[in-house]
Amino acid sequence: MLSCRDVTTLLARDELSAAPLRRRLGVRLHLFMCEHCRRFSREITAIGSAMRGATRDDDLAARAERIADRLGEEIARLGGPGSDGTGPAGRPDGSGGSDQAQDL
Amino acid sequence: MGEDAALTRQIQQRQPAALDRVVRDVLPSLLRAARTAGLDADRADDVAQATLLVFLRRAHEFDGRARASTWLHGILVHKIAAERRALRREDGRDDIEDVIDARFDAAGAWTRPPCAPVLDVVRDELRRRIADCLEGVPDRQRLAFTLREVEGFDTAELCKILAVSPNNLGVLLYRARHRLRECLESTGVSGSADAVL
Repeated sequence: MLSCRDVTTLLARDELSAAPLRRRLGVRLHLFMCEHCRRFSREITAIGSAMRGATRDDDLAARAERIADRLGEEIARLGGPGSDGTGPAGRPDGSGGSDQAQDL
Repeated sequence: MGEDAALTRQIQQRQPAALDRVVRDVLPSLLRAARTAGLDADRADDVAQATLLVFLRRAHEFDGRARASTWLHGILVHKIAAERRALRREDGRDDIEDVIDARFDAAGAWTRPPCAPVLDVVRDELRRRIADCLEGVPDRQRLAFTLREVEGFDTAELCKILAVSPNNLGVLLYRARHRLRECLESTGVSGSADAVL
């Protein structure tokens, strides 16, 4: 039987969708019976969706535009011969070791 | 989850139109993330630009297995963490754990159930309060939570971006959510009911 702490931890860690069916059903049953955990669940959902309007980014679009314009010069320079708008079929595949694994 | 094949090829070939599109698509979310991680607007601009320069120079290495935006956010976080200790530090002990402990008894049942007015606040008011409460959330937790809720990255993408294990990510999200909820509860409101959901 899952405790309130188990249930809220699963919810807060975002682990429910990846949990086994049995665990998910256990949580559902618990939420059905427990008003407090239901409230907790509704609260963190509401916080998550309100987050989308909570970041302060008034000047963001203008700044993004400026940076993109600056980078445009770099793009034109880097593009170089063979890729200045000649279309996707212009080059044979694998010209730059492109299937080299790239992890960060 | 990966990028579509045509775009991947165009990026690898450094086609200006494709690179420009990626840059413009992803810039707002990079700026938001950099600010979320605790940088001021000017430094956020610098880091986002530096990140995109890395991307442009290494575009031929892009393999399309992950979305370009996942790759880019990974570079961004790496760059910020190189400067900011707060972002690099793994979360060890955190005092929010004591607050959470006090909420439950030994059997894991609520001793102090949520009595927050969180749901009773009108949405704009909730947003304003969240923006205030976010300032009290450690940078790394705030970044993880924002990338999830605002930018919509899934668990695998977030683990890649933040270079953490799924378990570690869970801890970050768990602490951020509890912190925000506790903060909102403690600010107390006498708002009107049922306005949010």
